[in-house]
Amino acid sequence: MKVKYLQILLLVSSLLFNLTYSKQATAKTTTPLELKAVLIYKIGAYLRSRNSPTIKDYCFVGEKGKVLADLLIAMVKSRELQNTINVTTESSLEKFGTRQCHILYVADIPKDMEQKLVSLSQSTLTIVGDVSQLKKGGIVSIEVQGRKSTLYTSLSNLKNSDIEIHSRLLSIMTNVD
Amino acid sequence: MSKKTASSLKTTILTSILMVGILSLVLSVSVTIYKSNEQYTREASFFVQQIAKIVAYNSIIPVAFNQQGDLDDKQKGFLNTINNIKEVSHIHIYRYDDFSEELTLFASYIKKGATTLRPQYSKVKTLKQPVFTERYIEYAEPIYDHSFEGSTQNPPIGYVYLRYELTQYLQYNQEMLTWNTIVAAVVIALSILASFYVLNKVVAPINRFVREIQLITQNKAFDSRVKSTNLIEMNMVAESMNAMLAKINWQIHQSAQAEKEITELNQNLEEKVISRTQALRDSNQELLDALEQVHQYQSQVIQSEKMASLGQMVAGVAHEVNTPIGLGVTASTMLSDKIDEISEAMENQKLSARKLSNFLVESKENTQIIYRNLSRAADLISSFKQVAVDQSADINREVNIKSFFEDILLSLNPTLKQTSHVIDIDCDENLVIKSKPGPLNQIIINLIMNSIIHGFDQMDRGLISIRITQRANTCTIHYSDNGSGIEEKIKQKIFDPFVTTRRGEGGSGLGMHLVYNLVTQALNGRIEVTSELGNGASFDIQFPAVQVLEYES
Repeated sequence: MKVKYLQILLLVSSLLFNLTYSKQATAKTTTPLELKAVLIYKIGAYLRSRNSPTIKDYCFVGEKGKVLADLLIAMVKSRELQNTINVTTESSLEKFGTRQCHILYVADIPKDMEQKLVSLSQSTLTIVGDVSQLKKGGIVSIEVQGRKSTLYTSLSNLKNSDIEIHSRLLSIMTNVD
Repeated sequence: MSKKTASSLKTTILTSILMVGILSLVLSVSVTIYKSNEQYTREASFFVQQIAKIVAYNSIIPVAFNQQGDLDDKQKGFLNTINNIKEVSHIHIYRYDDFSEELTLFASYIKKGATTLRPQYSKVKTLKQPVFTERYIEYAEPIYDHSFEGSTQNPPIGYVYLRYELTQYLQYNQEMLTWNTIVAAVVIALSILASFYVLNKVVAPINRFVREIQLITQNKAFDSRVKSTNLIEMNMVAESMNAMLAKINWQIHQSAQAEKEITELNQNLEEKVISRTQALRDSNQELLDALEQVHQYQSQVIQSEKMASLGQMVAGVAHEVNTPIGLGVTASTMLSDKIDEISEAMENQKLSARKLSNFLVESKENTQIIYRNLSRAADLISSFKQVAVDQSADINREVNIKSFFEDILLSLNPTLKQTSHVIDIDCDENLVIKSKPGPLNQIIINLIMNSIIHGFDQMDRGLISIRITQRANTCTIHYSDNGSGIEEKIKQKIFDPFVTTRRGEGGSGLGMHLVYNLVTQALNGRIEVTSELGNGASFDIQFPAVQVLEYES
């Protein structure tokens, strides 16, 4: 008889344990890549260029770019990010024309594409994968280390473009010039 | 009987001024503090909310991009600017973590010298309005990232928690209280001074006034006057009081004089009352005598009327008896003459058989005439004797009503013969009652004579109808005529004495009064008159009478 009571007690306890920790198990854990995608997404909100349309165009280049683009699309679809955006991915930078994108992410810049990047940076906020690439014509770079993120900018490149960024956003960025 | 507790004017004034001063002060201070507190609360709430909004606005991008240093950096952090607002002791900025999505303390500000405040995770979501505690105000403002167009429905990305110290306000309140206490003390002191001033200015003259009045009352020196004071109002009272004293003095003088006069008048009055009472008594006696005389005269007149009625009847009787007696005398004279003629013829021997036979026939006729008339006279006298006896003797006897009424009419025959009036008697021939015939006779004679003299004055042939009926023990006589009727004003007092329409023409005005008295007193009955001017008059007489049956009579 005692054994039977113990069995019931164990069953109820395990049920309560499952109910308590099932929520934690399903709780979302953001990866550094996802955080990067979110930051790219948020920068779009403080960007003003051309006619400042309601839906902004986000362009991603290369394989790394595609990974970020997919994450972003997934988050927008799941309403984790509430605002609608247009996402375009291309394998090469040269496939993008000027004024096609509001934000353009490119992780690696081949040597032959540097001029193209400079050209695109005049009308598009270009986000590069590395701080060092800001010297090649990129405007913003995002660095995520663990939970901490740092935003870098090249103010000279920004000044050469016709893009306007919110001053408060600029104030939290580190100028590399 | 309840006695009201009296309080002095001094106490009343002192208490009133102090109470008014203190109450005004308390009211003023309470209202000021309340309004000031209300104003401060409103302003502080607004101020706290505005600070929180400014901080929240400046925290949007740092929170959104997780750049903590931009807010709490010791050199260039935005929160350092809050140093200028001394009341803000703590600011916490909370952010939803990108990885765990839990609220984390993102940045904070602590005023120099303030103690560290532990994170307020649970509180920030509930502090939607500034909350006042004893020492500080707490408020939390959500941080929304509405940078994307059309992103106003997005949930907050963090919270700004702000603690605003009330030290300054409490100091201000303390100062206010201190100053109010000082002012209250000064006002109370001034009130007491004012009260004493008023007391000296007002109560002293009143006390003096009261003392003077008391002295006047004690000494009854109403000819004295109250002195004037330095107060206009008191002087007015003093003037009124002096006027009243003068009046009292005059009244006392007047009442003393009046008392004297009253005493004298009282003495005179008793004498006057005695003399007037005597005069009244004499006058009353005279009036009583006069009344007695009037009654006597009235009785005499009634008696005279009765006698006149009797005389009238006697005259009628004499007239009636005179005729048969006269006829008897004539017949006896003729018989005597015839006897003388026969005696002379017999003495001269000239008496023939024929003469004797004629004498005998004439003698028989004369004796028969004498007999008849004497018999008639005897019957009349017998009848009148009965009436006369009834007139004088007021006794009950059996009366055959029909024959009694006919006898009355017979007694009135000399009068009735001179007119063409008709009297109709409607009565059972066998009706015999026990009653007083004397009063009954006088009643009927008076009624008939009234109808003839007054009712038929302007008529040649009047009709009098007399109907007699007997029911139970009541005899009813309904007497009516078709004469000129009776005027209303006469009808109302027809049974009163000396009421006549023929005063100075022989009418005494006692006929109907006599009838009324005879009906009501002698017969113990009642009489009613009904008449309209021009439509005759009728009298209904009812009196108690026992009917006598035939076998009894």
